[in-house]
Amino acid sequence: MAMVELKNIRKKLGGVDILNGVDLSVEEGEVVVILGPSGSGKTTLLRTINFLAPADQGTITIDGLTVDSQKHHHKETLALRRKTGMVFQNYNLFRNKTVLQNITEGLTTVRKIPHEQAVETAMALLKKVNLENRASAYPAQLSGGQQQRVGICRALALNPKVILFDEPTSALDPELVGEVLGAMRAVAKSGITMIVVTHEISFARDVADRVIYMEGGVIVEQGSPKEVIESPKDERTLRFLRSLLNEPMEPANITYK
Amino acid sequence: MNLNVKFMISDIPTVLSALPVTLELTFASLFFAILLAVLFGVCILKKIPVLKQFVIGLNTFIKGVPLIVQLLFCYYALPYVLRAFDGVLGYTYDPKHPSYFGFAVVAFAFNYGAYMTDVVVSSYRAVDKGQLEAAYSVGMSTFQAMWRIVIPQAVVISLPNLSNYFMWLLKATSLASVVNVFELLATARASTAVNYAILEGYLVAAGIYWAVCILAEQILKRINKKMNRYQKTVSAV
Repeated sequence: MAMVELKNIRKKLGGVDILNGVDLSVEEGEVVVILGPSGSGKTTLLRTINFLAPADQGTITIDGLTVDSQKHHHKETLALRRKTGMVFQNYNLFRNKTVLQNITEGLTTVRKIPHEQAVETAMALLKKVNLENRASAYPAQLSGGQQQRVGICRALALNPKVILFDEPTSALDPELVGEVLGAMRAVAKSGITMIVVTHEISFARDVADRVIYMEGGVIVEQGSPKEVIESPKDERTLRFLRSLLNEPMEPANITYK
Repeated sequence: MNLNVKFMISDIPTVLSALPVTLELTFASLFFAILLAVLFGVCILKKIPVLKQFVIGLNTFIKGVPLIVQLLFCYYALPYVLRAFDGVLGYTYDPKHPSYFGFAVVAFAFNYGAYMTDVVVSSYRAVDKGQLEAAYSVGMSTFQAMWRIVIPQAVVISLPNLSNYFMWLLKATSLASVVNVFELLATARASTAVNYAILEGYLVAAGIYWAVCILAEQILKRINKKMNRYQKTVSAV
């Protein structure tokens, strides 16, 4: 059975249709990368999965727990969220907590794990991303890349069934992108189910098991990275990929005075 | 013109003896003002129907009427209110000993509560929305997210503004001298009745207010600095 199953997800924001019936099924351990132009609904789709932005319609199933977007009890939402982790575009580390506390917070407050044990888990994770020496620093004292690596640790600490990555490298300076993608590759290798919204084509090509192209609130095309990135069938996918690679767009002969 | 310096020096302990009343008035008013501000703020932020409009209406009224008028209003009107409660829940109204101190606290609390409502609302809104989302993403309930993540940050954001209101309130309590509260200013004025050294008496009062304010400012500065340590971009290590 699929780890994550989305059925007919629809959502409007401010009267505009953002998601127009998305169906998606993600297997356990699968790494799914969602590509698409801005406004295509990919971030919104991600946020409907953990109910940060509940969909207007459709059902979400994670690890056997099915929640209907239209009639959901907040206990169900909480239970669903506790099966997911999320890494945000702007890191969103708790500003008033140290690096260590950012990771232990969910463990002690939500999972009620003893403090010492939570610290142990957090330190082990920090070590994996080479930040164990910054454990007592506050987020404001870290670079964007460091903050995002802590963000990944925070999501991992809760041992979620699936981690949602919402453009994790988009807010980073170019030279810091590598360290975050490196951490994400390590997460992917560990076998955790991942759904990643990103513009990093190389990450999609190397790490994804499946690439999804979204536009206009629907899934336009999906398949292996090779299929979607190297030989897209849909014209919209092709146009988007070209624009990412800065290849000349049609019409190719634009002239400037 | 020559000041009666000898009297001024001898007057200091007399006026200082009323400082506790001024401080009690300040802190009691501050406590209830913050309580009201939080209650009013929640009504506005949670968009509670009727209550929200009522709070906004009340606050514009309070802000549009001079504080001294509100003090006089409480001084004259509250005894009638208390009389109406005579015999309720074992309360007995004592017309001979009205609580002038209490009336003043009510006036200050509502006046400063109205202004502090804006601080509460704006501080809450100033906390990045992503903080709440991040708290939700690790599975926290709304209560946990508010209590552990959002409110502590809102409090830190509100501190500089609240400190300002505290300083204003400390000085504004002198207005209570008009409504029969024997705080610092009223005591200073009374102490000059013996020799009519009125200017001297007021100068002593001014000096004490000033000294207390400088001290308060320094303390608040330190608290602010300490609470703000996590916003510093350079590590203290």
